[in-house]
Amino acid sequence: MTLPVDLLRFRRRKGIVIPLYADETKLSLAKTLISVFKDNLGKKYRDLKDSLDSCENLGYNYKLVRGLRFVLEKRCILGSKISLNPVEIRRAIFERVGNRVITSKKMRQEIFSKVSSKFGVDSLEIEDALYADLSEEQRILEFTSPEPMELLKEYNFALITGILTQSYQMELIFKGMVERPSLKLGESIVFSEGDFKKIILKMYSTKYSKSRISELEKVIAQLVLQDDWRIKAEIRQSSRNYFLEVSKEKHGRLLNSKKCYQVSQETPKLPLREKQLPDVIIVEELATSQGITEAIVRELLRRRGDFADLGNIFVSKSKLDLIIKILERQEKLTLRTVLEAFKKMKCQHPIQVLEALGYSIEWAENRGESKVYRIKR
Amino acid sequence: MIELSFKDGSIIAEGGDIIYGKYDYHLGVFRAPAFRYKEVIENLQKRGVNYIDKVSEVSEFHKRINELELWDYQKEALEAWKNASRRGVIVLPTGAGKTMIALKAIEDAGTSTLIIVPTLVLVEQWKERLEKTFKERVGIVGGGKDNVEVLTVTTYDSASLRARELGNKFNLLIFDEVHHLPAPTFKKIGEEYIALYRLGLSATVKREDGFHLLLPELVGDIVYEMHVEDLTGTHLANYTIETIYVPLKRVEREQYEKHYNAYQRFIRKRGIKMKSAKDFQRLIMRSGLDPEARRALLSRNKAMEIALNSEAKISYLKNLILENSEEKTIIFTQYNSMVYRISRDMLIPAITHQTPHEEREDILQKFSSGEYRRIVTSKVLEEGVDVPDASLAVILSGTGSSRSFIQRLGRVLRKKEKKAKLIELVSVGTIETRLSKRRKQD
Repeated sequence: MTLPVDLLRFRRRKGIVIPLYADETKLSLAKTLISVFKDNLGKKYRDLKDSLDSCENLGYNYKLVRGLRFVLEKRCILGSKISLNPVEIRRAIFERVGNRVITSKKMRQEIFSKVSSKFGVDSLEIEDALYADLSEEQRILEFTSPEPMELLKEYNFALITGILTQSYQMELIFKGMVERPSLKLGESIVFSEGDFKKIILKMYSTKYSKSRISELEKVIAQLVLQDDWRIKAEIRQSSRNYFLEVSKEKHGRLLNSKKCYQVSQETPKLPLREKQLPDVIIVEELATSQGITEAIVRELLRRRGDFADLGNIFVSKSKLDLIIKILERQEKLTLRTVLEAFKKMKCQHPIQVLEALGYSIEWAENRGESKVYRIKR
Repeated sequence: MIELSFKDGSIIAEGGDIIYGKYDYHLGVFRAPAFRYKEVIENLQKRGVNYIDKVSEVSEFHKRINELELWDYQKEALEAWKNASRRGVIVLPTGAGKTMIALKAIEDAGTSTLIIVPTLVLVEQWKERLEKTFKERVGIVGGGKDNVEVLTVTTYDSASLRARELGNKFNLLIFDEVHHLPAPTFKKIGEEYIALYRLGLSATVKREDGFHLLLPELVGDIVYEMHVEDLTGTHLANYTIETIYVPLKRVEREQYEKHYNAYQRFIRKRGIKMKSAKDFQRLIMRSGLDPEARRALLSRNKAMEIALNSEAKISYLKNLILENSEEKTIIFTQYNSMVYRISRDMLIPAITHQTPHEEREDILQKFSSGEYRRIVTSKVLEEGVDVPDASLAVILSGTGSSRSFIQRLGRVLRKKEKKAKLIELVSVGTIETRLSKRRKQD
C-alpha cells in the first residue's frame, strides 16, 4: 500500500526528509477510525464518508486522519445489493421524460410510476436503483478489521513507500533475501558486502503507474521482513534534493508488519472470475496489463481452478489436455506441426508452452523444420 | 566513428561526444535528450565526424485526403505551421475545426504520427476520425490497449510512461489540448521523443502556473492564433453572455457569512495577502501543519460550496429551463454532487467521469438527435469531446479559470442560424462574483 503524494506527512530539515510516523500516541485515533468503519458496515459509502469527515475535527492532523482512512478503505469491499441495472433504469426514465421539463414532485412521481410498472417493481426501488452504481451509493459489504497497532504499522509502511515514489536513487542494505527489483522501477546493481547485501536502484523518472507502485511495495515489503535492513534514498522535492534514511534499528517496530504487503494483495479489483481470459496466459504480461503483481495473478488464477500452473505461464486445463495429446501422438515433431496445431486450437505462445512442458527446440535454418523433442518428463 | 542509438528516451553516442551530450558513467557513453536529435545530427555533420545513425525507427505514411476542404483561416494556420519547419502551436477556439487542420498536417508530413490526447474518450474519438479519413488501421496505446501502428493515438499518461519504447518511432507528434504538455509529469514527452515535426492544438495555452512558457522548446512557438471574437458570426455562431446575480436564501446567507468571516478573520490576523493563486497555494501548504490555517481553509471551502451550490440557484435554474424549454441546453456545474442532484431532481441525463462509456455515447447521441433536450455535466465535456451543438449553456457554478469558461462557451458556438446564449448564475455578494469576473478577463 502506498499513500498518495497529497497525504504524505514529513518534515524537511537541513537536506533531510523526516517522515512523521504514526506511533503509539495515535492508537486512540486508530481505534476510533476502526470503530467508524465497523459501525458503517452494510451502510452506503456516502454515510461512511460523512462520518469520517467529522473525524477530521478530532484534533489530529487531517493528513494523518485521511492517511489512516486510506489504509482502512483498502480493507473494505464495496458493492450493491440492487438487482436492477441502474443504466437501464436511467435510460427508461430519461426516455420517458423526453423533452419535458420536470418542475414538480408530482410530474416526477408520474414518471417513476410508469417506469416502475414497466420493470414490475415498486417506485422506491426505481429511486434506489437510479444512481446505485455511483461509488458514493455503494454499500460496505465487507470490512476486515485490523488491530489498532497493525493499522498504524500499515500506515507507516504506506507513508514510506509514498515518500520513496519521489526518490530517484536508493540503496537497500540488508541481511537475508530480497528479490532484485523489476526493471519497471529502474536499473539496479546488487553487491555483497560481508554479511550484507546491497541493491543500488536508479529509478526511472516516469510517472508511477499502478504496476510500478506495486513493484516498489513488493521490494520494500520484502526488505522490512529481513533480519536487518536499511534504506538510504535520495529524494527530489520542490526542485531540491533531500536524503531519507530508514532502518530496522530505528524504525523497525513501526514498520515491520507482515500484513503490509498481504493487504495490497488481498484487494485487487481484477474480477478474473468473470473475465474472458485467453487459454494461454503469460503471468508477467497479465500482471503488467492489469497493474497488479505476478503473485496476485497466480493466486487469482489458482483460485479459478480451471487453469494449470506451468510456472511463468498458465494454460487452461481443457486446452492443456489437447496440447499434450497432440505432442505425445507424434514421434517426430517439427515446429511447423506444433505451430499449426496451436493455430487450430486458437492458442497463443506455443514456444513458451513447449518450454514449460519440458520440450526443447533444435533450431533449423528453415524455422518450420526445427525439431521439437522432449528433454524431461 | 560514433554510433548513435536510442535508449530510454535518450540518444546514446558510443565512440565520441555529441552536442547536448552528458557522460553516463554507468554505460560509458554520451547521452543527449531525444528531442535534440536534429541538432545532434547537424552538429556531427558540421564537425565532419563520421557516424552511424541507428536512432530513428520512423516510417513513412503517404495518403491523400481529398474530401477534406479547409476554411481560409484553417489553411492559413496550416501554412504558418509548415513555414515554421512543421513545429508550433495553433490556438483556435472550440468548434473552429482544429482536428481538420491536424488531419491535413498528417497528410502533409507524410510520416508516422503519434496523436497525444488527455482522455480515453478522446482516444476513441480521434481513432474513429483518423480511420474514417485515412481508411487505415489506427493503433491505440493506453487504457489496456497496446497496438502501435503508423498512426497511433495515446493519452498523455501513456505517452509519458512509454516514451522509452515509442520515443523513436514517430516523426510527427500532435498534442491535442497542448496546454497539458508542460505539466511536470508530462513535459518529458516533449523531451524523450525524437520527432522533428510537432503540432500543438489548444483553445487557450495559458496556464495558471506559468508553465506554458515551456511550450516553445517542447513543441514550438504559437504559429497561429485566433479567438472566439475573430470567428463569431462567420465561422462560429453569434452569441450573448448574460450574468444573472441570484441572492442567497436567508439561511444560506447566514451560513455563508459565518464561514467566510471566519476565514477572513484568520487572513487578517496573520497578515496574509491574497493576491494570486500562489498565495492561496501557500495557504494550502501551511494548512498541512497549522491546524488554525486548516480550519480557516475549511471555512472558506464551506462558504464557497454554499455560494456555488445555493438552493436559490436551483430554484432559478428550474424557471430558466422552463422559459427556454425549446433550447438545447447544457448545464455545467463545478461539483459532481450537484450534477447528480439536478439529474435526480429534474430527471435530466447526467454525464460525469463516472458515467459508463456506452451510456455517455447513448446520451450524446440522443441529445444530438433531439430526443433529449438537456444534459447536465461538470467538467468532463469541457475538453475536446465532440458534443452535439447546443444553443444554450447554463453555468450554474464554475472556477475562476478562463480556460474552463472559454471551453464551456465553445459548446454553444458551432455555426448555426440562431444566436447562441451562455447564461451564468452567480450568487450575489459572495466570493463567486470575483470568480465570475476573473474567468471572463482573458
